[in-house]
Amino acid sequence: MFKKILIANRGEVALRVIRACQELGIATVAVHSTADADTVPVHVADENICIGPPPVTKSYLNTHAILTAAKLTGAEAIHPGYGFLSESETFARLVRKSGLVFIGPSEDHIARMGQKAEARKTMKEVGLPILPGSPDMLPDAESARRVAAEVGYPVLLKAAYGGGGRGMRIVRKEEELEAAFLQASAEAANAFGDGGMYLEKFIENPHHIEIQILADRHGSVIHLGERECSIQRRHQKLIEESPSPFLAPDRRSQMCELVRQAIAKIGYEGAGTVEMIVDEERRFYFMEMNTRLQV
Amino acid sequence: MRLSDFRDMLCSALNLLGDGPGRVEISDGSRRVRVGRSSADRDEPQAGEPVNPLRTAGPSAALAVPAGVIVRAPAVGIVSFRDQRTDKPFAVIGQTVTQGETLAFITSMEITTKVVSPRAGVVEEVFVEDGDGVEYNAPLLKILPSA
Repeated sequence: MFKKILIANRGEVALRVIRACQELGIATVAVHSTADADTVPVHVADENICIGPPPVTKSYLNTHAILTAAKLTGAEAIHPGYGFLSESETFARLVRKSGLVFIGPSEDHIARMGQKAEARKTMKEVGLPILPGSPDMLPDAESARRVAAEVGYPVLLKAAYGGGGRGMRIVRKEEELEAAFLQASAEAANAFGDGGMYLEKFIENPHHIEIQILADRHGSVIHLGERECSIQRRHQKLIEESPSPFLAPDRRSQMCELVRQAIAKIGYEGAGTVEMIVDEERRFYFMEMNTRLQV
Repeated sequence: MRLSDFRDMLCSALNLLGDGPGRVEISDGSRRVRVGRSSADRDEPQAGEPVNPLRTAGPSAALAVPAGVIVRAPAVGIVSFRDQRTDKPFAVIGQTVTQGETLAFITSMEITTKVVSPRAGVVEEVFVEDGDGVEYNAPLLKILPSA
């Protein structure tokens, strides 16, 4: 067990991690910007250290400041919480290289799951069904047209590094494909700095189900049940419901168990959220995975 | 004007005022801080009351008591007050420094940030030791600006 952990986050996220550490008898270090000096996690943590001015790029996203703070305070591990650096492959690697423990998945898992086409390929190999679609990134609209003809319309174009509905287009007819591809790719390049696209079969009236998993470094994996996340507005979840009223108990346990086994096979460590899409016949497919706890 | 500058001036003024009654006003040219404390038995000093010339401070005395400027850590890291090539100290108490002169370095992992004097003046106080770990914005030294 660690003796001291630095929490590279703020607010409610940091507070939850600090309280968990207190229950386990682990000393905590809170980092803060000058703007957050007088906040609850800073007062509740055993130690606190100011890492920068208010802009997050100079404080909570400043990997050097956070690593220096960990060294100065003698913390053995860094918990990133969620948001900020929690899904940064670079940060996870820097933490490990400076001799500390990143409390979360390996940089390799963060990198693979952060890239959606790569994530689908990885999960397909370990037995999760994936939607028919492009196995790799699509270099241009013409290759998108070829894949779409194979899987059948409607198709969904998605940005490889996307999220929140940006860089995403439903295409119902072949003649709409090229324009949609170019628009979505440009949108993704603007929003995420990468215009890479892939496509998959579009499911009408889909259900969006998320399963949270926890894995330790000894290969033990548990799932924490599913959440029905289908009620969305503009691709953002409005409410989550658990258990999902759409799934019968046997379907639910089959799905959760398959996810649990897949996570064990890829040697994942830490908390993670697996997003699944379920069609009207209750067939389920892996969509993507967030390499952090579920929010 | 930054709130921290104001706080530093206020601290300097309160130090000058001490524990007794009186009034102190300090200024660094563009900014002025005035503090006062009445004695226990009355609220306002009476007209014509003799005042301690060292403590008083009207507009004329203001420039005579310049506030020290606190130089703060620009990054979290290890502070070094010595030139790494020559091993000579950049600044010691009582030394005159020019504006922009290097006073220290802060090392955060492999990144080194230079700390320069914001004003010409004299090093009045050094708050941390060479080799200490400091957090962002920690006071490093105090410069008493010249003129």
